[in-house]
Amino acid sequence: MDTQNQAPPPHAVVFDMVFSFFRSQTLSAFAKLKVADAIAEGRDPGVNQRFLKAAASLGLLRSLDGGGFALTPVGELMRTGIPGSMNAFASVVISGGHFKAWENLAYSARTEANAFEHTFGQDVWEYFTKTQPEEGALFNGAMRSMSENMVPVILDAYALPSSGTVVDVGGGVGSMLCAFLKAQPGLRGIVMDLPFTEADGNAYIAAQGLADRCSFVGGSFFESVPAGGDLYTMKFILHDWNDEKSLAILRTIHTAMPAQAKLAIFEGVVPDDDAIAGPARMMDLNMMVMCGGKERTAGEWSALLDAAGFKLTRIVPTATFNSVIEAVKK
Amino acid sequence: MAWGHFRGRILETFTTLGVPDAIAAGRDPGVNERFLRACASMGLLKRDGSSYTLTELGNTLRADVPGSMRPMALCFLAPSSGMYRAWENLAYSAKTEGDAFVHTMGEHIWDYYTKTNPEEGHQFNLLMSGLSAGVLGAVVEIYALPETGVVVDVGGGVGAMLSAFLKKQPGLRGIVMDIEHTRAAAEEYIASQGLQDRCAFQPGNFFESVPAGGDLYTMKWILHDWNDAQAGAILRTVHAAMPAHAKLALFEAVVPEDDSIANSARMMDINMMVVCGGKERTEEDWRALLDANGFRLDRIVPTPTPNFVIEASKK
Repeated sequence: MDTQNQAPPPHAVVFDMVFSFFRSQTLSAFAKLKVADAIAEGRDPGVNQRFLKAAASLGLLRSLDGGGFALTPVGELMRTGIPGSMNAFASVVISGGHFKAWENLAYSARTEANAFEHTFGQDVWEYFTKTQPEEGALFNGAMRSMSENMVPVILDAYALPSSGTVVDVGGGVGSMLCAFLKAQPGLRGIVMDLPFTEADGNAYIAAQGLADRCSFVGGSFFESVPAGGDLYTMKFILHDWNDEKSLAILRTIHTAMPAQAKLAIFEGVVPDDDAIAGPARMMDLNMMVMCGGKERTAGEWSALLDAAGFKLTRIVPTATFNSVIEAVKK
Repeated sequence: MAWGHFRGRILETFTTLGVPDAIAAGRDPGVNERFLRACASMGLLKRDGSSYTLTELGNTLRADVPGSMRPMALCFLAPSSGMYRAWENLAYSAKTEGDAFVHTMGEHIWDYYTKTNPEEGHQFNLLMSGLSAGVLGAVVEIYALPETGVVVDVGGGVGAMLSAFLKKQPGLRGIVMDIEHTRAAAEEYIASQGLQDRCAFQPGNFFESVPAGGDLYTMKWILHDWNDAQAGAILRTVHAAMPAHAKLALFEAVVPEDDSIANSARMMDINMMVVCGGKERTEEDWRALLDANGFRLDRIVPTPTPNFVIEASKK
């Protein structure tokens, strides 16, 4: 089979990359202008026909016989306030702070340093909490949706223990841990995150009816995490940090973990073959640009865990780019 | 879809930093490994251990190769470029159907390219002549040109398309019409093709008048730059100059009626809306536009490119 002849000509591929910028801008405007909400509610979306037709050509809408447009399943994801909504994600990653920081990709490409700080003179967390809290709320919404979408994927792929205590390090208000405890009635849980999340965390846990099996502990994972757990979990934490900071976090956990306990990290594993790595390599640059973090290959995960006193025991793939990286103390 | 933005940023950075040129010359490209691997994931580079070579795709982004795609990456994807800035305000065009370029940059794209930022204008001209060269072969191949008579290419730039037509049909003569600004480059180009005895440049503005008495009037990628009112005005100028027997051939995209087809023409339509207030048209749109301005659409001839030949005559 001659695959060379089936590949599109290189000029067409460059065209398509330019068009992929157009497509992402169209998606971003579609999300920000909340076109999907208006269509779902039968209101005038307030955008012109040509824009709607372009959105249809991207598969966000389909035109109806006799005029008008309806949402496709992809378009549905652009509604706000629905479970699994990707509206916040599409609104936030292609505009505002992300957009401006990515304009300085050349800076990160040359230095491997964080283009966000170079652009704004402050780190992304400070920007989201202090300078642009509205954008920060949107970003939190995007991350919450991604987490919500991720939890069933993890439950599907990873067998939780039926008893013992799970400590979720950097677990936010406890949404993942509560889902775990609901799936395994014999489990108990501790959510650990920064003290400012404590009130929201306790309220969330109570609302889930899990106050008797789950508690919130305030703290910093650079200093200490709750001791005595049977399973320590971290979802989308280490990719925010470079190797040095990640090692410091892992060492804190190592200190708190009993000898028999396990560590389960829910993160991306970048394929070694760049030709099939696609979005994972984009995501790696996104971490470099936005927060100085990184996405890691299996080899890089193994080396990082080893340096922190762990042994990587297995990587369980999921239906998404994310995997479960399981480790024990050496 | 969201990754599209990142891909665009990586492509532009790869090009602007001269990574393909450095790799082709065996120099250190001066960028980190993770950036190079992201480029490899997009098919721009091929990694072999710790060394990288250009793929056929990456090679097209070098500055010094024929048909270089560098101007395209720079004009659309450089954050400092007018078109990139305009696309950032897509929401404005989506709401108003107004020209986001004017809204963003405070002037029309042609003023921006000729007066404010001629360097970027130069890149844009390189981009357009490169694109023309790409589709020209297909058009010359597919479209049955007359063997004799005079072809008037309206808005024909330096005369690249017309020269190709005259070379294919030795019995044809030609007139390239474009703004006075283009005269020197056009006359030089026509002479360089050895066609000065059969081809002339005539300066003019297609909103005012075009050369009379031609047998075939051609316009490539002109009308999509303009809205229906402006495109209608251009067509009426051509109509006034055309003898009764003459034909009009437009080389333009024809947008499929079915929006569910993932077609780049719909994205191109938004691009025209955003960067210059123009539009891409469906077959029905073309028919109506021609009809409203004294023409009858005779036929639409597809080419192997996204462009078509739209042939019309006077009603």
